[in-house]
Amino acid sequence: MTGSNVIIKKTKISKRTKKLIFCLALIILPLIQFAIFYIGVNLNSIRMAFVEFEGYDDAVGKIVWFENFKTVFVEMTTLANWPIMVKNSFGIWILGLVTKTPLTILISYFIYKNARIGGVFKVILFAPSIVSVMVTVMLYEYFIDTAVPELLESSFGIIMEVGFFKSPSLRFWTIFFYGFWCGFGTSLLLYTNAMDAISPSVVEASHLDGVGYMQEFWYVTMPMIFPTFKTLIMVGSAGLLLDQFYLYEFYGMKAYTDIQTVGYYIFKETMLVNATGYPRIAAMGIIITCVAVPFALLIRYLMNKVDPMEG
Amino acid sequence: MMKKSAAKIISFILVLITLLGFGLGCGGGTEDNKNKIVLNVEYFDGGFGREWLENAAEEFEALYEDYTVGTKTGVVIELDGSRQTGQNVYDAYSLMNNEIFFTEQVLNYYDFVNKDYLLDISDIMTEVIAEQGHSIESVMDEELKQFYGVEENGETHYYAIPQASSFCGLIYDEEFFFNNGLFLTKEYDNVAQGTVINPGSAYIIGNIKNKNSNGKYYSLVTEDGQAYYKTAADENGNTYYLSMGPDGEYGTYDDGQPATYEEFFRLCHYMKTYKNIYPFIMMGDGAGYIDWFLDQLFADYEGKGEALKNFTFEGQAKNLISVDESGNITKLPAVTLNPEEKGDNAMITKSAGRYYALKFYENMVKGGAGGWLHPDWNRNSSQFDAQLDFMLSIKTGETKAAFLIDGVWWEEESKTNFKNLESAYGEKYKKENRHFKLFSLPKASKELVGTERVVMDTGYYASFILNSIAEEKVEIAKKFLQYCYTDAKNKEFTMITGVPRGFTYELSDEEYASMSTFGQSIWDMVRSGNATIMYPQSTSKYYLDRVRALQPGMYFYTKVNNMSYDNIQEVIEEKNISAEQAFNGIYLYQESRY
Repeated sequence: MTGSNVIIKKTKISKRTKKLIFCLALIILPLIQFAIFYIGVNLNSIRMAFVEFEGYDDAVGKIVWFENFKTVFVEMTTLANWPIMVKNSFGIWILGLVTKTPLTILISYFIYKNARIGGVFKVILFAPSIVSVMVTVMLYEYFIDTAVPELLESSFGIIMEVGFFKSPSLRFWTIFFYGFWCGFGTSLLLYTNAMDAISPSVVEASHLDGVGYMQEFWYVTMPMIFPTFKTLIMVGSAGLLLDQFYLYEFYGMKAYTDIQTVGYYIFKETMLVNATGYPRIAAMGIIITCVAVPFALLIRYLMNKVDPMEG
Repeated sequence: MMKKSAAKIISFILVLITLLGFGLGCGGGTEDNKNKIVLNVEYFDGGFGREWLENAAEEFEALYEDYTVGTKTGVVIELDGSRQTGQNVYDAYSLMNNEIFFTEQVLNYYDFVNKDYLLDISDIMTEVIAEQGHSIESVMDEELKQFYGVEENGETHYYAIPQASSFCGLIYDEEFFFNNGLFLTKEYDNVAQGTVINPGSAYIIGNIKNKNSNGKYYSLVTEDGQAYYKTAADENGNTYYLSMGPDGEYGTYDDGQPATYEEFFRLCHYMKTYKNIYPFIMMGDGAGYIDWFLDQLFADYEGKGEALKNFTFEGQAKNLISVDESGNITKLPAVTLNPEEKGDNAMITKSAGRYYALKFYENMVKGGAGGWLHPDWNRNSSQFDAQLDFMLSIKTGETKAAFLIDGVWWEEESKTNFKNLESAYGEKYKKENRHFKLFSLPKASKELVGTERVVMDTGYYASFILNSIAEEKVEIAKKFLQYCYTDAKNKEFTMITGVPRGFTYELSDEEYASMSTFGQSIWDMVRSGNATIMYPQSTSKYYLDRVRALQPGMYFYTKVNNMSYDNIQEVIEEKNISAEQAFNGIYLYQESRY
């Protein structure tokens, strides 16, 4: 090669490097997102719990160590709302555990066993999860507050003096039922997927041993899906103090005190303060984490105890 | 094999649909628009509607059809209705696709400014607009100028323009009041407070169903040098002189309306007991309308000077009280406020105005045998439901409500209700044929009759351009914003929505006549010197540090028996807590937040 000819030396990228680049390209964005929106945000929240902001234009703040924790602790031990909110948060979780979870597993099993209307169930129960929460809230609100009282009056002559969402004895259950209806979607999908992954040979073997449907469910399916079951229970227990129970969607900032949950309270308080108020909320978040973590660990311990695969 | 091909085809179609979605999302409209400058305008899709903005956009596009930047000629304004408040826009600033905003609850103007989120629009504020001979700034309300004008290096900079004055109140149907004989007569001014109103008594007008030759149910007459409103004849041929109303003067817009709380609730008793009319209807308890309504009572009681101290924290809070369980009031010593730091600022929550507002509300909820609230209020009803029930009060057989508690924007918001009623029941229900008006709030006591009427603008409506706007659009975006605030557009806004703006402009007789009676009543109230608008904000450091906690919507949050409540309806109506307990609890609730 002479003159103006330029020699272009091709650098050969190894297959391994190519694979690495491909993998990096796949995970780099989620990693950045994780770093900013999880690690960064949480570190900032932790930092915020120990500072006090001088004003709306103060972005750094002054370290006050445990002052914010003291304020929150006093609030938590003196404000009568807290016992109610804690009771509601745990109550909703336990109620969901004893009602929704068994029902979801049974329906998933129903679908898994290709029951005739299993598909219909799948659509009906999964639909609320793919529709915007605001849409389902509006549908539900309209149905419960308008259609149900009309039906009650025309069919049974019962006149609702106070609507379902307002009635002190009904409002908790009205919202709980919405959560019940809307909460099937994701877990239903996870359970059916876990059930679908059970090896057909295991099922066939059980059938050859003369196992019926219910025995199959209890002795084959449940043990095989137990990791999924365990994971879902643990995730739920870890987040139960942050669950705002759809109260903001139904009541905005003015949910009744007797149905408020810890998650709703934190959410509402964050909306009601400026940056100067954030440290208090951050300290509240850490205190709640200090309660939620041992609780989640306890649940994990208990789940491991009953896990048939662990034994 | 067949299955594999089908899967491939389906995957291909799905990929195509996804890419198409991307293309549509990023493409930016029609071929025609691609050669024009597109301004993305977001407006709060609420009570003001979009007609005023549509008109402005259409005219502006025509006016600037030859405007050229680079290869683009002409302007297209894309309007996008949303329910994002100022706080939402602030929180999601980096996600905003739109550039120009007209929205509500821009409490956090200084947060925006501090973060450099807003475009400096000082030039369009101070520029003299040739067609009108003055700038926007020159006709802006002084208080608004103080707040929106940010001092930087000895210069005043503007980053937003206040959009409209909005507030809640009592809305009534004047025709309904005359037809059902619900106005007070002059005779009631001369008797002791609390005098019972009975049917046929001289204190209340009869049912007036026919109008005078002037097309109204009343005429302005002068007798012995004194102007009065005199009614047309009732069913028995009697005519009446209307009472002086809360402004303490005869011959004014509020004649015939109760002057004090006492008189007001006597009237409520009369209408419920003898006319089977429920005094109040309002939406359910989610949106905080009742808080905004109580804010009006608070501000009107305190007067502008005292009420503003809740935001400026300057001078002394003088109107402080404590109340015992029996309602005995003790005046507290004045407290010096601190515009920089916390100090004793929380003491201002003990202002008497808050107590009297709560007392009014307690009467509303608990007063009268069987209650004074329209039965439908018990439902989790929306504002549209409440508006519809109220509008249907003139229909035979419907449960009737005398007052709707809502905002000045309600008529525009209820456009669909008006149309539906008209198509269902005829012309009588058409908006133009109704006679809705804003009721004057009564005064807490006889001594306060005749004192200034204050309304608090709790809407915090403002418009601004985000700083992230593309450089090529800056000039034209500013021009559009300026165009929306010319005198002509200010007038048009008022004529369409019925709501005034915080600028000096006048309406001609024709323009005034083109408004609904409701719009006219607002204009009469705020522009004829009958009321003063108060803007609940200030530039004091103390206020700016806590704008969310100090917003008027939170004035009646309370703590009783160590339980904190955000919903005054729950407190008074459901928990049966007295106004006194609720009032004393406000300080306990707010102490840590102030």
